[in-house]
Amino acid sequence: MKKRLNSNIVIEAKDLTFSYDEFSKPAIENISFSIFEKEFVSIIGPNGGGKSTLVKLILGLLKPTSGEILIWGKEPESVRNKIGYVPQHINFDPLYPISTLDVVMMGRLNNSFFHKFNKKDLEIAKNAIKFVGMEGYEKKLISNLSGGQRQRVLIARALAVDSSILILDEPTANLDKEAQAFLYEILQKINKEKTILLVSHDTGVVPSISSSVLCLNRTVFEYSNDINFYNCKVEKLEKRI
Amino acid sequence: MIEFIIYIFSYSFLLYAFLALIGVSIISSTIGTYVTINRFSYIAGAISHSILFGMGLFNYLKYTTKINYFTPLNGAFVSAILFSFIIGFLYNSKKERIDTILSAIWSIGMSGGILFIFLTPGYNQELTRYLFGNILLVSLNDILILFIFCLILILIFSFFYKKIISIGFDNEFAYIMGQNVKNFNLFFILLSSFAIVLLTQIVGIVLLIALLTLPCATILKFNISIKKTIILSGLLTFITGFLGLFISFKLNLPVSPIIISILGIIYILVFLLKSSLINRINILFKKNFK
Repeated sequence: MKKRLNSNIVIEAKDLTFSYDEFSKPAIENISFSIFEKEFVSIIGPNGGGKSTLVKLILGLLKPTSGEILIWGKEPESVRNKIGYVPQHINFDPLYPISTLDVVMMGRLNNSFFHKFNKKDLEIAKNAIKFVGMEGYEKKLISNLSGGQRQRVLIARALAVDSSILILDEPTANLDKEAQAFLYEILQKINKEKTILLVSHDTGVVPSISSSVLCLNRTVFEYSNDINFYNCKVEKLEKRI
Repeated sequence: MIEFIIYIFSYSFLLYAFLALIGVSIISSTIGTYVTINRFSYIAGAISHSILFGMGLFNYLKYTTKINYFTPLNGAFVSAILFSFIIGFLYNSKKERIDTILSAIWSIGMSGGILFIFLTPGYNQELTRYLFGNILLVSLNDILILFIFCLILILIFSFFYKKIISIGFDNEFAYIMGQNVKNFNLFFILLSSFAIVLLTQIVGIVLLIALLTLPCATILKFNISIKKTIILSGLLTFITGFLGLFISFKLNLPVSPIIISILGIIYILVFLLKSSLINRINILFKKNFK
């Protein structure tokens, strides 16, 4: 059992509720949890359980209906450009002609008007590419890469943000077992320095590599930092509704 | 060919067409690539047709109020700005599909224009000149405006290149990184509309739609970076345009259809070469002759 290394709270939710409109049932209802520094938290739960909604709330893309969510004790909008985020890769245009390096350099974007990347930005991006084992692919177009390679590029982009938090939204969807295993290996390596928040459908492997599991089905069912805690099966949660 | 090059420098209309072609190539490569990779090249058809609304309205107002400001060209720009804002807001709100918005703008704008043309007495010769431009009829004034616009385009595309490709690839991530994605999209839709209004008068609707899609789509088949796509599609436009001028001059045929035909043939050939179609035919032949 991994222990919480120290008590620095990175992400904190207090009575968080969110509904997409006032007439429908809330997507997330009254959840409270704290995530500590260098934890590896996996968020699992059924489809429509509010996993992606929670990620959007953490990134400040959505605003809570009630309650609050704090990152390093601040509102998400003010710090979201300091969070490494790996979105679901279903969102991308597979024909978009952009190179690996250009994708990773997106992690170095800032909001100045006449923005130019400097040598340090390039160095950070190249290190991130090396970290995920994609060196030599810098000039290759994303559309020519395999699903697993593409996912590693997106992780490199999130690493290029140079943040202490990494949030991944179902990075292993559509990947074969081998690519999945490789990805988990990279994530465990990253976890030595960063807090990781992983949204996943994979109830088999993910709980064993994470230090805590957050089961989400509209409201938090279980939150445990005990890796031997396997009661949190999606199938069971679905029956309880 | 040498004879033709000598002609270019001895006849002003050919020289103007040649100069216009340089500007048109720059617009077609930058704006064309932008709208193609972001999957709304359909905007070329929508804006170029819907500006008939502003042209018809201003023509009607000119007839009724006798104020000189109401020229069809001003009407075209005013309606292009209006429609760009509508397209931009709806596109940013993500509440409607982009092709639905463009179809709606296309038909509503054009039908409004037809109504105003009907209400204005007399034959509106001026309107047809603006809608069906011809590269052989451009004036020195048109070329000046075109070159200033091209200079602005080159500056914008070189300054914002990284932002353009980042926002186009993943606008959500760009937004998280602090980019003003909505204003950025709106600005580029506006820029595209201005380019389309300019091209409508210089080359006409049909050639403009071809120029904003075919050169870029052809180059994109080679799977190269966006920067190279912009440069090469500009070159492709210039070469085919020049060839089109030459052929139409030699054979006394209309320019636009010739240029579009050349572009179309190149696109189809590249498409066949790059797709597996030829491979499949080869396999079929081998099977049958074994």
